[in-house]
Amino acid sequence: MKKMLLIEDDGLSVNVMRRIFRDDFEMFVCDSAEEFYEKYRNNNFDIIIIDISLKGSKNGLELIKEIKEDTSYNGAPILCLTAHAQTKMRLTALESGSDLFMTKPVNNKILKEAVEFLLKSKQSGIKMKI
Amino acid sequence: MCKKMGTVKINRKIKQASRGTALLLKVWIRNRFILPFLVLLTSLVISYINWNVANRNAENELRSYFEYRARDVYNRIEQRIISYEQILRGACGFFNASDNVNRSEFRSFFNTLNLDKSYPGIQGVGFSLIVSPEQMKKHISNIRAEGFPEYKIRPEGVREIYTSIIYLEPFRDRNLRAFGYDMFSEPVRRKAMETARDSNETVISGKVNLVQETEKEVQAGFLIYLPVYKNGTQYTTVSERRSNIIGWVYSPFRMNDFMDGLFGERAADLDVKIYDGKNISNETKLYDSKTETTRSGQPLTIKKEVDFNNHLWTVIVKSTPELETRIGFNTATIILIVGLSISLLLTIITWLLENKRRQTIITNKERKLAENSLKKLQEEQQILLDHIPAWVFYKDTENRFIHVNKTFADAMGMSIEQLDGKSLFDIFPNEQAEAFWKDDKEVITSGKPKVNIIESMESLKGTRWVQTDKIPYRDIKGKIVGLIGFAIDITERKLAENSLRESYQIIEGIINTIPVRVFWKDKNLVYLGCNKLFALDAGFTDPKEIIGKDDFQMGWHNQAVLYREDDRMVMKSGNPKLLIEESQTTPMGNNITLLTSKIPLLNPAEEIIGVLGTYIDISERKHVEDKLKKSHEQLIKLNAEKDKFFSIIAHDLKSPFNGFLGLTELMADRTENFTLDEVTEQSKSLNKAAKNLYKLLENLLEWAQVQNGSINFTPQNSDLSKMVSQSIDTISQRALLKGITIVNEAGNSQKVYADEKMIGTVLRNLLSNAVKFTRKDGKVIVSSNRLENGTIEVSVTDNGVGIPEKDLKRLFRVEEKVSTKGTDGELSTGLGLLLCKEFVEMHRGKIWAESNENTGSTFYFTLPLK
Repeated sequence: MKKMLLIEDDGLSVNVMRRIFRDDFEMFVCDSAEEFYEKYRNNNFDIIIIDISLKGSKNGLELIKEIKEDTSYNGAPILCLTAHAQTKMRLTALESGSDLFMTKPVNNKILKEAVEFLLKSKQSGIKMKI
Repeated sequence: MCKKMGTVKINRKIKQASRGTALLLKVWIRNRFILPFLVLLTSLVISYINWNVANRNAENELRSYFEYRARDVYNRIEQRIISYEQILRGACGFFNASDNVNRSEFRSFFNTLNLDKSYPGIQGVGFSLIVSPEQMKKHISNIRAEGFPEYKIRPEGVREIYTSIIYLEPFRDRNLRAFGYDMFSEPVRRKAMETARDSNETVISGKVNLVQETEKEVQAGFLIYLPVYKNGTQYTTVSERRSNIIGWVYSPFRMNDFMDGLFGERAADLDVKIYDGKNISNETKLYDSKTETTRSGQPLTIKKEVDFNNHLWTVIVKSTPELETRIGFNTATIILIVGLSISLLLTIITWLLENKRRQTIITNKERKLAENSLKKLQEEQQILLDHIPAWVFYKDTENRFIHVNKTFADAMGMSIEQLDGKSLFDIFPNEQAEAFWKDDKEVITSGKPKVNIIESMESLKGTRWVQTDKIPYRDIKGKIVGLIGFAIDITERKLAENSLRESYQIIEGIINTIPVRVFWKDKNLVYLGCNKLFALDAGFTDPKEIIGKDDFQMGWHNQAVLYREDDRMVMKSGNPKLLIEESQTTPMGNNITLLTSKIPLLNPAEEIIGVLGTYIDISERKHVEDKLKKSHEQLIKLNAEKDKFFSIIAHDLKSPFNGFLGLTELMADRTENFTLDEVTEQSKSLNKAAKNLYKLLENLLEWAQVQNGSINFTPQNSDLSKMVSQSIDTISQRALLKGITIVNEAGNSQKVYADEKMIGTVLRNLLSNAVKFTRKDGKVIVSSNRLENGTIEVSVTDNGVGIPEKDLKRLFRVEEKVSTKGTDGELSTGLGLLLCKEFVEMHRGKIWAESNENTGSTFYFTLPLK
């Protein structure tokens, strides 16, 4: 079973995503950067979903940057989620190295498809940016 | 025929002569030197003739005088010789009377003669005795016996016959030398002695040297002899005389002594020379008066031979200048001098008379000429007067016109004659005439001209402006007899001036009215002028005050150097400098901002002669601009802050919906997939999120109300402690859950002046935060403190997690909305503190926080007491 790392501080959203992906992924959830480091190091994830606004000292974008620069990064696709809707934020998110950027609220079905798409394109080696 | 021709010739001569005379006359008339010259010439000629005659008379007179004097000389010589002859004859008679005359007899005889006084010049009277050789011995012994032991006859020697001077009186001095001298032994004497013996006459010898002469002052001498015969008888034949002679009485003479006695004092003015015989030479010279002098001209001379019994003396008498001056010539000189003087005097008198006469002639001529030219001048003047386009009038002191020119008469609508004698009051209206007459009187009384009187008057052509000069009119003696007026119609000029002045006034008005400062300076940057506003700026009231000053004398002297640099640049380059923004210090010392433009000031020849500047005071505008700029910046900042804030709010509002939508969708789609427990759990989650969202909305709305000012601020005297307890009550349940104690240490019944609703919110927010960030069993204390400035400081202290340093600063900043979950994961809106800040600030209070990580935080805010 594939492993998914979800970094999200909104409890309801975590509940929703757990429910959506519980059949396909082994879910790892954290709501702060501190928790993230612990989980990220000990597991090999297939996909990472990060919300930009986090409680604690660092935000999601900073974490994405750190992952990308980490030597042990396995190339798992990173999906960036945020309630910020500005284009500027989108560009910043992509620049930081995420593979896909989606704005909250996101439709359950679309989110699922996006995750599937990311995994497939990872397999086929297609690198695309939206 | 011949006679006739002669007549013709004479006639021609006369004609020529008359023609000559006419010519002379003409010359005379023409030349004023002629008459005086003729007078001089004539008088000189007369003087000369007179002088000449006088001279000749003088000469004649001199000659006669000289002849008389010369004759006198001869006479005196002759008379003297005759006198001596008489003495000798007396002596001879004495001898004749007594046969034997002895020495003492002879002496007494001589003494009776008193020769010294009566006959000066005579050396003496003596007797020479003939001694034959045979008698020689006896004779010598006889004489020696008389008391002369040395006696002998000299010179010695053997001669045929001897003579010896046995008596010679006065027997002394020189005469002693002659004693015993044989005169017969010497040829000259002998000759005279023989002649005397033979002729029985007194005979004068030739020139001899007397034996009496010593070495000194040797004079020529002569002797006179008279024979003495035996028995005193007069013998008639020569032989008888020769045989009967016994001796001679004689007198020796020294020639100079002889002559000296002859003349009185006058002798000096004649030159007398006497020669022995006819022969004239130094050898024969007996006497020289030595009065001959070197002289000009020939002296008068008379040469005469004087015969003394056939012995001749040549006597030459010459005149000396001394003599000549005695006579006659002085008169001639006086005549000459007087003549010359008279000539000169006459000439001068004639010259003066002639001049006077001629002057009279010339004056007459000139007067006539002058009269003519005066007449002409008057005519010309009249023409001139009548044609110059000015009014000319002469007036007497009684305000009557004496004479006017045509221009004036025409302007008055009268003829020149009509105006004669009229007064101003006859011509002009009273008031006008009075004004003119006032000036006239002033000129007449003061004697000073009054010029450039500009006045208006009514004439046939309507109102005219005239410019008048009035000058006192004086007679020859300088007395003021009226005035001369000279007036020009300057109406046209006046009108032009007026319109010029009007347009100038308009321009001046414009310059002074426009809300722009205008100034202009010369090349040396000295002010030539400015408008009123400029003058006021510079600290003056009148633009005229500024003329001649420079920028260093203005209120803005501090900026003068800067301004002048600009001025120079404009003048140098010829290019304007437009819209320069610069500052200026006003006379009051304020700094204002100007917008200045400067352009070169050009003269009509387009040469730069200075600089013209304008400026406007843009201080107000500048001030507004600055303010605007500041508020604009503020606004931008605020906007940015709000943008940020809203993006955060948007996120916080949207974010929960992700969960709502996702979960509700899941629950709606797959309700069967949810167990009952799950539904309960999810519903609780949804409720919690909804509550938080609601709270966020509530805070947001409240904040928005504060922002747009629609919230009511109603402060009142409130009990702080009471407000704190009420707030604690609302929180106590949550605190209780976490086991946190809240202590109210706010002063009992501490009053504050506050909006209770707002301060309640503030207290609740702070207490809620304190509980949120404090771990289980923690403690929260609310206290109050009265500050020195009369405000109440309220503090909420916890011993919780604290706030990191970097967040501490961001707490109250809208663009930095921070929301942190509590120690038990309590949610927060992040708007709470912002609201607190707004509310506290509405009470004119301050809010801040102090914190140490892990030991807790304290939030403070201040409230007014009243």
